[in-house]
Amino acid sequence: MKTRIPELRKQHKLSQEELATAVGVTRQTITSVEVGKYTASLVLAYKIAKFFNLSIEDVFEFSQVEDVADE
Amino acid sequence: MSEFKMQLRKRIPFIWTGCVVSIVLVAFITYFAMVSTDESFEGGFIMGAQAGLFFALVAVLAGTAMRYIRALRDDAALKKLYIEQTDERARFIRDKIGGIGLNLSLGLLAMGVVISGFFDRTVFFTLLVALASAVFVKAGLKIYCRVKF
Repeated sequence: MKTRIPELRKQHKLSQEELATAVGVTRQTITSVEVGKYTASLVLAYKIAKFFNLSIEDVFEFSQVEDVADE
Repeated sequence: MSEFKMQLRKRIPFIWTGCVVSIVLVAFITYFAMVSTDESFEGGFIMGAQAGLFFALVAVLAGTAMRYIRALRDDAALKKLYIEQTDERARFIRDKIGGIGLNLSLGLLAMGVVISGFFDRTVFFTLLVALASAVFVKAGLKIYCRVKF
């Protein structure tokens, strides 16, 4: 899943470590979410979005997520 | 965070108890090895392995206890430990390893059962019991989790 986290971090001049500590996960988790290796849980997605004062949809891109109902 | 602090305080006595029990067992095994008349390689190897396992357990438990004590004294260390223990990706990886690891172990045990059947009956039945136990544990956990979640 694509995210805007790297871009938002740059805007806020934050390191991965700082964001990770703020949302209560390890730096490795933020790295994995950023590169799309790991899909954040709803709680983590909410925490990250809240940290940047945005909605979840503004941080995470859901366009590539398959919609079973449409098929 | 105060709840996590309480959890750590509760865990520390259990860890120290485990440490003391392991030290007593290492001492017992060492004493038993000294008075034992069995001087075969197998006998010495078994006792060495037993003592080594408990010694490793003591080292791990003591290290964990020291980490917990440091975390209780230092807020930054406490937060770091909390994040490490509750990190969702680490938990996801642990869950995944558990499932895949158990399946791999079952496969290897099944192979061991078949191969040992050609050579040694004792090993065959031991591995068969181990395989049956592992399958039983997996099935039990599957039923439990399906009911619980």
